[in-house]
Amino acid sequence: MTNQMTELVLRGADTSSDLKRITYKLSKEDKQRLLEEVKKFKGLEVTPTHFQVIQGFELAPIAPRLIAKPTFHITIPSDVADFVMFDKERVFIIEARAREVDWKTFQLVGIPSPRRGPPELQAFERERQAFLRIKDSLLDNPQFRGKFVAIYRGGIVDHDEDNLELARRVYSEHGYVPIYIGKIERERRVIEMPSPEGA
Amino acid sequence: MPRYDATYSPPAPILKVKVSNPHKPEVRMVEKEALIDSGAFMTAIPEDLVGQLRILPAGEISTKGYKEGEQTHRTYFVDVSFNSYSFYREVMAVKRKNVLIGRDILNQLKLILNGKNLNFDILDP
Repeated sequence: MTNQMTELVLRGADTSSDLKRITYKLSKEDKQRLLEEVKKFKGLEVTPTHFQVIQGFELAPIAPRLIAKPTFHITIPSDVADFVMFDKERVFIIEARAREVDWKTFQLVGIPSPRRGPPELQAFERERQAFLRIKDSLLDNPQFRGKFVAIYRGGIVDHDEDNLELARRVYSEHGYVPIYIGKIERERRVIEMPSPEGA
Repeated sequence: MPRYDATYSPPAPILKVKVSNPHKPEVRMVEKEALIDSGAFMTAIPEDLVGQLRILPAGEISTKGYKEGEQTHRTYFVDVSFNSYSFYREVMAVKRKNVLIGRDILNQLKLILNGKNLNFDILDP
């Protein structure tokens, strides 16, 4: 397996809390495209390595801040399969783990590619991406900070302190369609759950 | 009082719950076994209910366990009913066979776990 790995050495560092995680798998073809895309980011290098790759993150939101910061390493196995998504602004690296920053809790979760899943999941993913794009700009806005917002067709359609009331209202207003409901808060929602999966 | 389910080792407080899609009443509700889990922050449903209930993802949440690292799960708004109680809740879908009734629901009720006699009760005081 060792000779099937490729390491991306990124000139930069960041905190895990700033990462917007998405997980996709890479086909060999997609991996090659990914490597080409990554090369466009100033300061990134691609070198061989043997490190196991198990975790994922979205590169683009942090890429500008990576430049000229301390080095960290991300590894991508050449044989991991399936999904990856590119566009002009974003590169999604899947199943990658940084060695020198605290990303060890990140784990592949298998959310399907929005380009390949059912239409409702593609729509959900678009709303999710819209939420991630606008979330940071709302953190200091007292109207939204600490509240749940509902994203539909790329924009906020409603907000509330109570996610249940918000859900009832937006589904009643817009029909039962893909709507993303997320909380405007600095920290990601991570809960302690001893064994969510199992029996 | 309901008995603990002795098919679990050790025996566990299990009850039958009905999970339904309140936004698509024409979709038939699904009955499942549920484990009462006061250690669970949030109620969780098996992933196979997503298709059966035709529920749409509405959010996501990350969990951190002592075994696995961090995992991200999609969340859904559903009705969870048992005994005479019904709760509209945001739940996460996970890879498991039964439902986990978490503190988001349990904290609305009075839960009596009589482990000594292997029975339990859930009341709305």
